[in-house]
Amino acid sequence: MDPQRWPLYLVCLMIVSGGTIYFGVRFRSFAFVAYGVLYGYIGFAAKVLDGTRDFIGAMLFVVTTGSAVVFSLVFLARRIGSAE
Amino acid sequence: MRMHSPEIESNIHLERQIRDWARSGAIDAAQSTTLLGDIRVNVKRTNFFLRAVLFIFTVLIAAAAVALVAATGHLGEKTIGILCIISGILAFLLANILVNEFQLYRFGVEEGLAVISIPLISFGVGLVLGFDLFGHSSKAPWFLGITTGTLTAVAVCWRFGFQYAAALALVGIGMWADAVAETVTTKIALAAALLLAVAIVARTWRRRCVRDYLAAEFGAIETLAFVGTYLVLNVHLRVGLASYSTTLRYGGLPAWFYWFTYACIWILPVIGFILSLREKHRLMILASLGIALATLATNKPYLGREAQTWDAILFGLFLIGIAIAIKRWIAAGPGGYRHGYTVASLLQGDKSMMTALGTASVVLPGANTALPSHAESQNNFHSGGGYSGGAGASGQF
Repeated sequence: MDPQRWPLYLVCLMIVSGGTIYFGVRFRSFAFVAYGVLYGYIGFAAKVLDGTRDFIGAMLFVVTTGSAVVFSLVFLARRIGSAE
Repeated sequence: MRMHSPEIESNIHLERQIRDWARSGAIDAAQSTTLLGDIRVNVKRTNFFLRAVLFIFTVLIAAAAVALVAATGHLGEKTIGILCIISGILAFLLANILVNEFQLYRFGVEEGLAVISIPLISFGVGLVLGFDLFGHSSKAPWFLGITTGTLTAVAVCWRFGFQYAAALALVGIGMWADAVAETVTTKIALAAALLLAVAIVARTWRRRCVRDYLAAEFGAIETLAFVGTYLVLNVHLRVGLASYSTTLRYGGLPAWFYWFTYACIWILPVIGFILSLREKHRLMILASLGIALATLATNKPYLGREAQTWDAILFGLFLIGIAIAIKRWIAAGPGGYRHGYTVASLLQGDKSMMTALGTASVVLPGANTALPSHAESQNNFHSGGGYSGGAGASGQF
């Protein structure tokens, strides 16, 4: 991707996925929370890891950002995500 | 021994049923509140979608962490194998700790850790014993890797009650038979016999057990094994990856075995349907209907007849006719019932299942591939004349 367009892409991605998660939580439609998290992460990771040859760096990225997502989701699930 | 006590499992099963009855209007809100008040479920659970995302990310992190250690240490194949085994055992133990300490129940994280332990241990054992991903290794590492993986899947299912672990174990049994037997005939026969044996054992346990949640679990395993038996025997059904596609293997079968499998794919749905109808085993009824459809769909290829474009239309009309006839027959019974069955959708859960089936039908492959798209039709049409009412007069013949 053109480096000049990267901030625009990131902002758009954050707005779309953040909005999906926010309204998913607000209207308790958790499928949209899942979509927002998954597609947001894939969109971000795909651009960060695009063309990278550093395998160790890529794995480190997945472990750290993935852990952050898991901790955030556990926090969210404990607060609002009931079983039913 | 199971991680959660039978009381917790029974209460969760009962709670789910009460919520379904309340949603369906079988009991009112006050009754539902009273009944739910009597049930104590002290475990941490979450919504299905959050659970699914947590599961995916946990598996991703665990796999990436193992790959990171292996890449950082520049480890050899056997050392990677040992790393995988140790990581698999640690993941399994961590899942146990999460359930014990934090009382997680189907929360996604502990599921991901327990499930990732299956391929890690299986792959690790294979690598330690000399399995070569990019070369021709002997059969023993492959065989022992599958065996260990299958046993780990059984252990995960036994310990946590995850039914998808049972499904993985059944896949492992099929792969084990494939690794052990020499000819295509013995591979199919051994896999089918083992899966059928699992189905019979699960059925026996289901009929003996007194707890509803256990009966439901054994019923699911029985159905999975029964469907697995069918999938192995129907040599014209395309299942899974191209290398495992059963379509590719019927060419090497002796004629007697080929016709034996043909008889089996007709007999299995009938047996499954009759038994499940008698026992009101809903999952098996659905599975039997599903495999009956698969039998009808693969009948022509079995007989070596050419498939026609209108086959699917006739097949659909035939199914619609059968469904309408059965529905009218049951509805015409006294009180709209026949032998304890009704066409009315009594529970909300049934409607949800039908909705899920409808959604799943959209992703069926090949549904829209028979006819060319409008754009393709236009591109394929080479007009040589006939513009503006010329009626082809300028065309080159």
